[in-house]
Amino acid sequence: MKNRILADGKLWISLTLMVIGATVALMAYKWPFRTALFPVSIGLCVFFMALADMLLGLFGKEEGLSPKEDAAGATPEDRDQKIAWRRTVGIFAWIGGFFLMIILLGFPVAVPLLVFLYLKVQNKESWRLTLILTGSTVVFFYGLFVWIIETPFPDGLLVRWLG
Amino acid sequence: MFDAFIQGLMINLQFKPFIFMLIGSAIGFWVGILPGLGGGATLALMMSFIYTMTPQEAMPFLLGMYSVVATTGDITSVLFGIPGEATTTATIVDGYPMAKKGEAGRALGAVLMSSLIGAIFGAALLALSIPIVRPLVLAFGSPEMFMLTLLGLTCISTLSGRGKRGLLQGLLGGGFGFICSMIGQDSQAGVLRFTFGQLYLWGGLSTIPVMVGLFAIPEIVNLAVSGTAIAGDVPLGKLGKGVRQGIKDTFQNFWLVVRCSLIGSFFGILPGVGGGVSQWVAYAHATQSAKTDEERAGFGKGDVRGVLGPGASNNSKEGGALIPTIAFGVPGGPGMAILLGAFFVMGLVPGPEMLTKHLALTYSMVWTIVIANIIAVTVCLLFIDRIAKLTTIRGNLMIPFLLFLCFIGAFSSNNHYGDLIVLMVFGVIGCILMRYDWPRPPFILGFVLGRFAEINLFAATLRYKAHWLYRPKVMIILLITVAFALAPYILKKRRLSNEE
Repeated sequence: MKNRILADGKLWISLTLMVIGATVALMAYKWPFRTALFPVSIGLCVFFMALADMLLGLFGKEEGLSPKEDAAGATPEDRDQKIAWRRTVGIFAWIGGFFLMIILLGFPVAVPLLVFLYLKVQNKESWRLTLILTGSTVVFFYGLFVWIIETPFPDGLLVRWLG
Repeated sequence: MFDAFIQGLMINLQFKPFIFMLIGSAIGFWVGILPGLGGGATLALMMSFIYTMTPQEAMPFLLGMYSVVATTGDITSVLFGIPGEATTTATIVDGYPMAKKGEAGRALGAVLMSSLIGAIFGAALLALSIPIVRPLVLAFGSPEMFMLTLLGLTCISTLSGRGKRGLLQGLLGGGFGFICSMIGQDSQAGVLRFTFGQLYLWGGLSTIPVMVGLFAIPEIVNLAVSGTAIAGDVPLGKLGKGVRQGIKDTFQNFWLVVRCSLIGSFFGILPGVGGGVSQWVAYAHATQSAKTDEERAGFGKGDVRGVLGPGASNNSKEGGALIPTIAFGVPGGPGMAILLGAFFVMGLVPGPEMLTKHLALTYSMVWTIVIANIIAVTVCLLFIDRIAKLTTIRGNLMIPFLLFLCFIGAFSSNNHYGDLIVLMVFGVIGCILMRYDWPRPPFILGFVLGRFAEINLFAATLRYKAHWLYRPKVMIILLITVAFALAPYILKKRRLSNEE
């Protein structure tokens, strides 16, 4: 049972939703009727449905796990899964990095920098292709967002500190 | 009403809406061809561009994009045996064997022409249904509108969730969407809800960062994880010279195409079913058109009718799916749930207003589906050889551009860095939901319709107390909701007992 709880991510989602549902209902309980009606109703529904889902997950028939996984605890796809996990972490690192670049340098610098670094460092593309695609991105970015749509992009923190 | 119909066409033929429709169609054209990037995710991504547009410009842009995705998705299915879109899988069964036999041109001619007929059929059905559904919608009050929201949520939960816990997980997703929609200042009494002292959250979560995070970020992660060329290493089928023959085949089997279009529209109208199911039903119907066993054995080995059926149904479903979306705010599928979000971004409320005040705009959607598909099919037929080469673009080259579009899109909704955090948070949530096979469309529906549902629930309770629950129309919708919730279980049980 303990292994099942730890292994089944769906149970963790149900548990999280249970906590969210209960928190919403409890927080909303103190509000005036007109404000609390919807949150209390929905919070309680979510709590009980998540509870039901969790109980079904714990005591219902196994679902989604292959017999091979059950017997040995590992599958031939484990290696692929490791690669997939590594790549997932990698892309999230790029997403986080891009966010930091935007905060520190602002959109106008961060956008071409991301395209250039991703193509050159991550994809190891040729200099020619990297520069062509980065240049195209700069033209697209300035053409559409700066000149046509006129989106106001604030300066990055680093740019502001440097004056 | 005829005036509104013509006004709808005039909206589309104005310079700016027409140009936006062309841009949208071009994007949809590309997205359809490239496997790995879905129409729904791109719709979410493109929503960030509609802020500066009027509804008359934004709808042709978004719908022009979305309505051609299935048309061009068939090209990849035929040439590579890889679905360009999830809804073009059935086209592979006979389309790819035709390509391997050197009849790709014929298959493409057939699938593109049947797609066009399907799209026109679906749009015509949408146009014809408006006078019929209008009195029905106008007779609905706040209790019925609230119940319709629950009906939509149940339908989409039943059909997008998988396994025994599918319905429950779908409803939970919808409930979580409702909760997220409550964040911010309450519209009834002005109370701040779940803002945790953050000024940014006073206005609530913006639709665009949430949608882009939930749909586009997981697709980018998937592209990064698969890490290969978009069409993989599958060899390109020979195009051949049969495009004209394929078009001829479509007209020789015209009634089959019409019947499959009807199937697509019907499944499009059913909330939550979508193209995933209709394409296979249409394919099954196409196989039934075989008169002898020998003819039937030819299906799966390259029978042109196996291409015509799914092609027609895929495109006719959009017109059908728009009917419940516009009239009741109950989306016909995940893409329509996202489009519903666009309605609210532009200040349009589905229901009576769309069939009275904004009737011309509603009819312009009909025209968008028709015009965008005519343009897409014409371009495809003219430049099919060059278009086929697009599929060789590597997926990982697109990642930085998609990321940049996601971030700009999220940022431009409020010009606030908080939106970028919301984007990333919902990106993680989207990936987790995808990883554990939790349906995402119910969340979007709950999130988009949350405020609408709350206002209707409050108005119904204030006016009728608990008596609104006993109103006949409410009870009928409740019965339909229960029927939708139980239908998959009953059908499964019946199927199992039949097998035994």
